[in-house]
Amino acid sequence: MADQQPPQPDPDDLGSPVTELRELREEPSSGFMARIRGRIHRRLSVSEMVDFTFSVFFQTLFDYLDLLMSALPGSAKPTAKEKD
Amino acid sequence: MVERLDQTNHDDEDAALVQQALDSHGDLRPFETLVERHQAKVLANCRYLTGSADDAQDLAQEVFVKTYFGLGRFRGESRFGTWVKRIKVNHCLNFLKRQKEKGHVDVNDPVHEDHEAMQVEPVVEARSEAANRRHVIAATLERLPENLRVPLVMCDLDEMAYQDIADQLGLGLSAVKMRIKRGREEFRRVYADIQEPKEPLRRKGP
Repeated sequence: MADQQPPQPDPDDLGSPVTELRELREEPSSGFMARIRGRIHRRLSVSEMVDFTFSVFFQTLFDYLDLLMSALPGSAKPTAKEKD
Repeated sequence: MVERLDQTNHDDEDAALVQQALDSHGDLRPFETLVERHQAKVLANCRYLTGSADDAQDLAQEVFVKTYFGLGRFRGESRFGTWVKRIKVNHCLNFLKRQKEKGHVDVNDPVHEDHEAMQVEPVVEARSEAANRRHVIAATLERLPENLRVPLVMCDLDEMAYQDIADQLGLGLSAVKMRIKRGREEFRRVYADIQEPKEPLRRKGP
């Protein structure tokens, strides 16, 4: 939807009361802004929670895999004594 | 000329507020100012596009939440108002689709052409509010069938171009022009009925 000139219809089609539609406004209820703020904060909290959960899950998974790999025979890193 | 200058100033202020909102890192105040500047029109549009005063507040809030989380994608190629308008129209049309899928009976559907008999109360209600011109316009819009009201609102309330309306509604350009023309005729007729009713409408029946 590009910024275009508003449609210029047949002049016979316009005139009051049709032109007054452009001025139509609705006043929001008193808690309108607070509810928008609440919805935004809720979505941000959920998003942070999901991020946190994923990072904890993957960190635990990687730690576990690391532990598993190191426990496999032959995969243990040689100690300083063994090197000698 | 003055009007155009005002519009340019308004757009520049919007652009500055968008930038502040993007730079604010969690501070919602610049975005709240943007909401305050656009809320009355967004709310009116949600109400008359969907024909539901009950759902309009919720829809408008969802539109602004979507706008907030989409601010990063706003490139400034169009006006902020135009961008919000696109989000709002998509959101409201999706709402209407969902309502139809849920199986809501649409008394304004062309199948139910005889809807006048089903809408006695809104007329009486509108007459009692006739002192306020705005209320009469609102009542008139609420009485229009959805297939005429939606293109009319998109064109005359939201000032969208015919082609944009056709794209959004998935209709041909000529079909959209025809619906808008018919919508205006119907709007004038219903408006006149509400202003000066010839005779009180009575329920049809035995």
